[in-house]
Amino acid sequence: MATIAFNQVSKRYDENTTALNALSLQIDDGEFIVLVGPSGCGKSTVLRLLAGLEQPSEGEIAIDDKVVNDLMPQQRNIAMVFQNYALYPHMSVRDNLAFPLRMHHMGKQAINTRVNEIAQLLNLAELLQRRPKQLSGGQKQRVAMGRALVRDPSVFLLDEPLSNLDARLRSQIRADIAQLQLRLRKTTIYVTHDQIEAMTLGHRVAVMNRGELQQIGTPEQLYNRPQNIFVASFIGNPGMNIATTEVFAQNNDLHAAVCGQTLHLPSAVQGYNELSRSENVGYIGVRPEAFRLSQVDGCVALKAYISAVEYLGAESLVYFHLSSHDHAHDNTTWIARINGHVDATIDQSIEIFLDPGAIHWFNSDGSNAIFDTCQSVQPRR
Amino acid sequence: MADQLHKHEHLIARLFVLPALIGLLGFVLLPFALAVTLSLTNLRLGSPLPLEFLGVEQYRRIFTDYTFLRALRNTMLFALIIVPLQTGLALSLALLINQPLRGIVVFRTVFFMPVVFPLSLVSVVWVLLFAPGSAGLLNSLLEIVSFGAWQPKDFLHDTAWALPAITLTSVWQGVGFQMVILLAALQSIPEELYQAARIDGANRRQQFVFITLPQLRNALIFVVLVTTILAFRLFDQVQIMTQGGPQYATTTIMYEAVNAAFASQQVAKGAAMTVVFFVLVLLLTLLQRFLLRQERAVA
Repeated sequence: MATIAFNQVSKRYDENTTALNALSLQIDDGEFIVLVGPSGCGKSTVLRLLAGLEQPSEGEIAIDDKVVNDLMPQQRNIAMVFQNYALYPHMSVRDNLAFPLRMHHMGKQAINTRVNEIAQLLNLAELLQRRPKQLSGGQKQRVAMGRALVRDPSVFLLDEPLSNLDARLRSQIRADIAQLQLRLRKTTIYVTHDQIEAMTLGHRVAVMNRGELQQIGTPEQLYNRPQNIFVASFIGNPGMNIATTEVFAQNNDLHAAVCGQTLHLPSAVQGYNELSRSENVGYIGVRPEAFRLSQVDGCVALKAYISAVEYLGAESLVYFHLSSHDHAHDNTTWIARINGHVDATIDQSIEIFLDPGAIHWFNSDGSNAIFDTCQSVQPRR
Repeated sequence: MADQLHKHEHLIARLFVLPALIGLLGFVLLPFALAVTLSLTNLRLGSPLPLEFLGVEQYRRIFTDYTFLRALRNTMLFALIIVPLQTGLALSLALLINQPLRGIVVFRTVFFMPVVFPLSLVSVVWVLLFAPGSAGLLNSLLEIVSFGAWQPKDFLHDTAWALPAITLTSVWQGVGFQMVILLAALQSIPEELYQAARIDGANRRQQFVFITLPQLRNALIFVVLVTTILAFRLFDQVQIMTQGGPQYATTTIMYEAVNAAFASQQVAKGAAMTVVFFVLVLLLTLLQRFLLRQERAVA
């Protein structure tokens, strides 16, 4: 069992390549943290620094309040599942599972017992004699998990463990991992570029971009209170619609000009006071699922020019512009996610409705104009 | 229809195989069949005696011939020493060269260079290095590093030193080749395996024993086999440096076979020796195939 602390940790490869910039992060004992971000955002670097496979250029990494910067991977009592599993191809599954124990000089009898236990846990008993080559992707994945769990590490690291599996297997193993973590209560750091994995697995999710931590929080916090435009558009599928806007007061009411249309904002709207005080608001953000096709009390109406409709079965994605082709102020394509089938043709103009309370406001520098969400670098207690 | 197409394809396939087959027949199988046939006769160029079928007489003769037995012994001894020595050295060099250091390419080139030199040239150079008396390069070097304790030797004319001298030359010339093969194999080992092993708690030695060596297994088997076969073919260095001497201390199967067939014109005797040589190499090849197949069966 272990807590982890990153204190202003940076990793630079040379003057121009910063893989990780001043990361500070506290991870609680038994917590499941997911690092998510586009490729090259530094999330794998965090894992590799913690594992000791790379040395930080600056800052301190501590496991259980003990600084481990100078410890070799061998001395850190961590286990890792690699993206390509990194099973030892010349060893049987049994030997792969036994390897970490052998390296720690465990007795033969004890090794056997422990390997059988793990094989039982991960449903590998029938595969023990096989070589990695003879295993399917999902089986390899389980062996890799087994090898990581076998010696009871204090920290469990997973580097995109599901990215080589097909979609069906992925969701199944995702559930298995969640269950396993719940049962074993190991401090776990999970790296992925897949936001569904991030949202479903993490107690807290850290969103990274270009070597910087953008926001860390519960999946709900990330979804409902994104700290900046990057998080807003990264989390959610499709991502949040973002467009430039100008907020102005008229007749004691607030209005927002968006793509040639004006939204009237009633004073009851969440964040109204902040909005009326702020002078920096430059962007408006609307989740696709915040749009609806029928009027509900308090909703504002917008005129939408439909450019495409994708019917997905349970829902439809409606692509539209807020200005017609003739006088295009702004050709931002908006996406609305509407339940059921949408009966609309391309180039048709319709009324689309929006609860002004569901709008996110961002300053021109991209930060959230309403919520100060820097709060959750510390774990929830 | 499909059947006809199939037949047609077969025919084309055979046509493609034909050139290689002709080459194999003309340059390998036919000469070997001839060698076997000749070895069962008393053929000797310029001999007035009529050609006779002698059965295994030539084999009986060479296996009771001191020189040939000595050659057999020398060859095996040479192989026995040079195979582990050269493979071990090649592996060490490959491990050294595999470091990500600046200028490592220079070393790689230097170590590999002797391989592209013709053996005869290498031999001549080493004859100069091994020159007798304190004026000889190697002798004077040894004298300097031992602060004068070294007594100059005539390496190539000393029964105790001639074979080691040839061995040294051969290792120097050949080790680069094995090194390159092992280096390629080393570089094909995924870095992730080492990372996984480090996280699993393996120290450097354990990583070498449990990751590097098993991953190099096939390359090592190949290197050992090729080195063994090349060792059995030892001829050039002997021909140029010692002519089999002194007192047969460096004679080899190939040297004896060539000598018998072309110097003493005892073609039948030489043929018998090559057949013995062939059988030895064949056995080695089969051994390698056996070892590799075992690997495939479990992989």
